[in-house]
Amino acid sequence: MPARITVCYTNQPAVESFLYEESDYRIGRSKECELILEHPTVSRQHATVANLNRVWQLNDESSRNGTRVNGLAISTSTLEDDAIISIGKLDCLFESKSTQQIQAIQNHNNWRLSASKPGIKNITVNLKQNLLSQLQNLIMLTGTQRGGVFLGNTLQSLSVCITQGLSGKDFKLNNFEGSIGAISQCYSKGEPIIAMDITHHQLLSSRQSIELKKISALACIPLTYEGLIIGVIYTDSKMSGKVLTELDLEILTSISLQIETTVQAILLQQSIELLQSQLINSSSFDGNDYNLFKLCH
Amino acid sequence: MLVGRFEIVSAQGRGQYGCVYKALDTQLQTYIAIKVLNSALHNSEQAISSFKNELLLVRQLSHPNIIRVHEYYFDRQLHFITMDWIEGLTLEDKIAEKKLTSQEIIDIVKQLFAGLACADEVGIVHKDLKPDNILIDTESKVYIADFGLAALKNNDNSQSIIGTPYYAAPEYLLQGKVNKSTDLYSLGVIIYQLCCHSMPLRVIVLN
Repeated sequence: MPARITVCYTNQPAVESFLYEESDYRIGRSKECELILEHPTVSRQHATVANLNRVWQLNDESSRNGTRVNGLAISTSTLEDDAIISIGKLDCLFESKSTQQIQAIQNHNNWRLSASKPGIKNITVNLKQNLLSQLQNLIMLTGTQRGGVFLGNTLQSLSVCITQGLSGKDFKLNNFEGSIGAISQCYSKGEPIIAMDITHHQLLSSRQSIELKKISALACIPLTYEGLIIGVIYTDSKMSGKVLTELDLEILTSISLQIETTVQAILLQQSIELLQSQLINSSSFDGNDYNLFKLCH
Repeated sequence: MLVGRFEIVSAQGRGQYGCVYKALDTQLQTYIAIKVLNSALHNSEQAISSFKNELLLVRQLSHPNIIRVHEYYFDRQLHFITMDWIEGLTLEDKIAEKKLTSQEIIDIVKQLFAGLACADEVGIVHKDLKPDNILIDTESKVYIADFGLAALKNNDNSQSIIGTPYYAAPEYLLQGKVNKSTDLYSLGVIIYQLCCHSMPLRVIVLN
């Protein structure tokens, strides 16, 4: 039976590869390997995996940091379904998959990607409704559990715009149910942050509060307006074993752009409303001008 | 094939929120239940949105006596949710059989309380608890289904939904008030029905 191997990086999207029985696979940092793992604890040619007599077998190729299966150091080992392979300090999930299952995974991934693209069906005149719908899509298409859009020029000025599956009431940085560490990094780096199994994540695990929250995967994407960060999109999952893959990042990026456009439209609308109220309240306005103003809007 | 993944196996029944199908998840090679929402329910974008919000909360519920909701999808003009597949009967069917012993009733009620207590801890109210959406598997494990679906009633087409008011608390039925005792009232009616094989109130007049 073929297999799927999911390389779970702690601070970048997980990478999925499919293994077919008729091929042998070299695992390592070298570009010559069939499965390239970019991690300092992985040797250039670290291990090999091959299917012998319908059984998947993993061999360590005298690597510097060793190979483990379900936590036990090995030189050679057969691979059972749902085995955790550690290549150096990089954990990989090994799962047997039938050809039909692989086809279903690929079909479903194609559907998820196409459903994340902007379409007429998503657009309504109500911008807030659009925003809600886009955030719900983001959570559901990436399989996370909850999320929110938070606006503010700095981390300290952050306020809740909308949340889904997450309490947004009385939002305060010190009692936020999600990861402030990830949001903080998002502001400082200005780029998407992805973290998984964050008890091992170098930057986030130092925060005891995060470990207690048991978040297993999270993503945080900056929202920009005229080159400045005006907020973040945050989503996470407490579901054990949840990983965010490269495809998830593609979906996150696609929907984030839609959310960014909606947020920009909301800000523009608020500016227009502010100008309108200033115009209406202006004492220098005469009746004729006001009618003209109404006509224009 | 829905969303490139789910293959419908058979239709299971029609409820007030939509049709339920048994389907094969070709990705995981397991059976799941698919509930396709009534088209009358998804005319209002706002109702769908509040339903999705509720569903995201329900999806975080993890309890052995609550049916796990997996995902919400929109594909081929169908709004549907995927859930755990339970092989068994509804409590409605069990009541109709009139074979439940006192001990079995106690076991059922204990499990229902456990499920409701878990939902209460995170502030989720079912709002439509009744024997028809309680399932009992072949090992007598009890599962509460349809958490979150009541959010769909909050739209302009609510008059077209045919539901039974027998299990709804009077303040919820008449004024739409929801509180911690909303589901307990429904459970009280269910316990009465389990023990007495009849409803506590025979006539309800609604405007």
